[in-house]
Amino acid sequence: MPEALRFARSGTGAVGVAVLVFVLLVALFGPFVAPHSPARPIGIPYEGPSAEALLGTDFLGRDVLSRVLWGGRSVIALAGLSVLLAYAGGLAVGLAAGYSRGLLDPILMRSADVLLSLPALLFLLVLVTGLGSSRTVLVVGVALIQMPLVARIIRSATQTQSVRGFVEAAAARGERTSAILGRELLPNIVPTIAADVGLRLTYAIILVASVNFLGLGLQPPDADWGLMVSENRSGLNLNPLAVLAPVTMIALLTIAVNMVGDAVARQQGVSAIEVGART
Amino acid sequence: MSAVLHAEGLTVELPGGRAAVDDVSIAVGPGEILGLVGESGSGKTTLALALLGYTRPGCRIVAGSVEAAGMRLTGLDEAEARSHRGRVVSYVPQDPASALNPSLRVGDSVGDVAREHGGGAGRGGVLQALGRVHLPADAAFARRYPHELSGGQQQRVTIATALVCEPAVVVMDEPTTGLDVVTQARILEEVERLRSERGIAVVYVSHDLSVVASIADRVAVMYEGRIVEEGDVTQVITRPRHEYTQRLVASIPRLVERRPERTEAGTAILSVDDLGAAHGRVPVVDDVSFEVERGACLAIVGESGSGKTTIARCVAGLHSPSAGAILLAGEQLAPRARSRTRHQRRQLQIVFQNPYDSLNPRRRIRDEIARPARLLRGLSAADAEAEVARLLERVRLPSRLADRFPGELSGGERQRVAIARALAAGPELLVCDEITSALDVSVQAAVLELLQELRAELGLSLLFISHDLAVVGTVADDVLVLESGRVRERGSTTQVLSSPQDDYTRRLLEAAPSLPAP
Repeated sequence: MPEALRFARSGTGAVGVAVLVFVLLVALFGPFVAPHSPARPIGIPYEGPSAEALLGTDFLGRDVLSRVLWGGRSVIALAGLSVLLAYAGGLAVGLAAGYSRGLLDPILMRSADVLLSLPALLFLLVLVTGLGSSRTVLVVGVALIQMPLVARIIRSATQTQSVRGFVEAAAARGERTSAILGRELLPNIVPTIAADVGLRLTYAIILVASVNFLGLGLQPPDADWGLMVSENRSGLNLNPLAVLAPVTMIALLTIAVNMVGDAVARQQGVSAIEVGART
Repeated sequence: MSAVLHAEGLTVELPGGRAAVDDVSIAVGPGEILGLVGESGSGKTTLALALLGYTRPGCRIVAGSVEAAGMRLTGLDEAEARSHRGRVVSYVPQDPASALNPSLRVGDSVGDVAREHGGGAGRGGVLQALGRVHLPADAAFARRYPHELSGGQQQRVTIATALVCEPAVVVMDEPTTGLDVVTQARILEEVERLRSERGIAVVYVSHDLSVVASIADRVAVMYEGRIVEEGDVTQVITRPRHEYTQRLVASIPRLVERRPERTEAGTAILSVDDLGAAHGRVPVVDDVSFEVERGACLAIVGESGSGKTTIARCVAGLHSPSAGAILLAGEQLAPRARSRTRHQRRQLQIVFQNPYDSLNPRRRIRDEIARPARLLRGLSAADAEAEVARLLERVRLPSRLADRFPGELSGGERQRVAIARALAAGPELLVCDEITSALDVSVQAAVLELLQELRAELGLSLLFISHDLAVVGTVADDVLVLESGRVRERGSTTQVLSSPQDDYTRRLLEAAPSLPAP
């Protein structure tokens, strides 16, 4: 097994990968196997499961199964992209702040604190109201909320690593700052990133789903797991599956991401811990 | 003499089922100090803990028994065993900085143990316990936090904690490792006094035979989980029977060793003029000047905090001096490594103290060694590859290690890799900052031998930073003694070590533990 995939040997890692692959397959290939169109009603609203609609129908009489099969792409793409963007910014800011001994650190981190002081959802709502609700605005907004959190974690991990001997050794042979950050520090904060990424993704999914739930994100008739929860909540007692199915998918996705993150962090962490315990 | 601590056929298994301690029997009488010697991984700490009926998580005591002061400590349930620990037998761990809870005042650290055992000694008892180990027995001291104490004081606090319930037996696990010689000498004095005044039985665990020799009555040598030799200290040291003990005794550096005197004075590869350096506003190095001649080895000796590492860092371009000049082969060096020319960075390389820290845990040995060769000598990937193989051979490491990560190597192997990495630049001067202080005595001897070989074969010059006079005696031509950032004495090694002129040097020499002449 290649080294990068060794984490999957642990129980948590294996289960996490299996569930994650399942959810991703559903999201990616679901639309091709969906029995019905996600947008056209096929029966009366909130019908229970039948042979025609295995998971029943939603508040407009559309097939829940088909909408679940269609609805994964947007959540995963929006949450994934925003976390990617948050990391692109947060990693750069965190590494620079953590390694710098000058004014750069306080300047970057106090700016991050300003962003952090804004309530997340309120910030998103203001953004959506001001700029209109588009996918780009959603992705950038969620990324901006997460970025200072990422930056703080990366900064403290960088600070811990930057006083270690191998970083000094690199400085003593005159390596460029970019080489010290990229070659010496970055690989050693991977365990931190692995542990954090699951959490960020979970949070992003919840944020995206919340905005969709409030009706400010994706607009009907888009099929989206978050949107489905909000649309169908009034019919919870008539066809609970219309809410439970998308909720289950969101739950599986976030749990799987966290399990994989944990397994990676643990495996990376163990191999990174110095066998320094002296007897 | 009836033994107060008695272990019989003690066997401890690691999670994998391998025995870390294998059928060990020891007995210690009241007022006796038993030294337990062995290298890293020999099972010393596992045995030390097992003497309290305790094992690290996952380990199990599978056979044998421990009895202290007539009380059985093995085969008890956890609550019962805990009630004996600290009261009947107590433990002093290796690293006082991590053994003390940093958020607890030291008085509370001591008091908690007393309270746990219903001692109820109260404040008076705590102060008395502090006084007993020669710490200030006042309320102001008891209110301090561990970080406000020196390393030696911290270790005294852990000893006070171990003694507060007046146990019959104290197990000390490398209590002076990591402390400088002067502090170490004071702690050893303390242990000596406690046993003679209070008749406490002490098991003193250390990898350093010379420390054990200076304090213990009897010594037990541990190797691969077994006691391979046990006996009177002088007897074990002068007539070691087991092969491992013989190697151990042979690897200890003697304080003054015969060395050929150098005949002519060479030109200086490094000259440091009136160097001053500070941490923030606190000056740590003041007006220090010295020269390292081509092919020679100059040692800088001093206690921790004397500024010797700061000097090494200034020379290596990691710390900007506040005054003075550093000249390499006659050319002035920029304060920061990055501003120095590539040729200067090539010529001067540094090896760090802690090999557990100085290699990137995420980088294979191959890449770690190849990097300076490519960066500083501009070698191609293929040439660097060949260079790695050559350098590994040069530092006596098997070439298969090239594909390993540092975590898979022992401390001695890592330090060799760190030396190979420095050599990859093709240096003329090697700055060695306490490079053996994190290593076992036997490993240290091998690394020092390697350094001597490299000097002879490559004509390397060395700036050797150390707190250990015995080590300095075996490698250095000249010595510079540093105290609080100032030079106290300088001269040839033989001269300084055999007839020190300065009081401070004399104190350092007296504090250094050494073996009786064989």
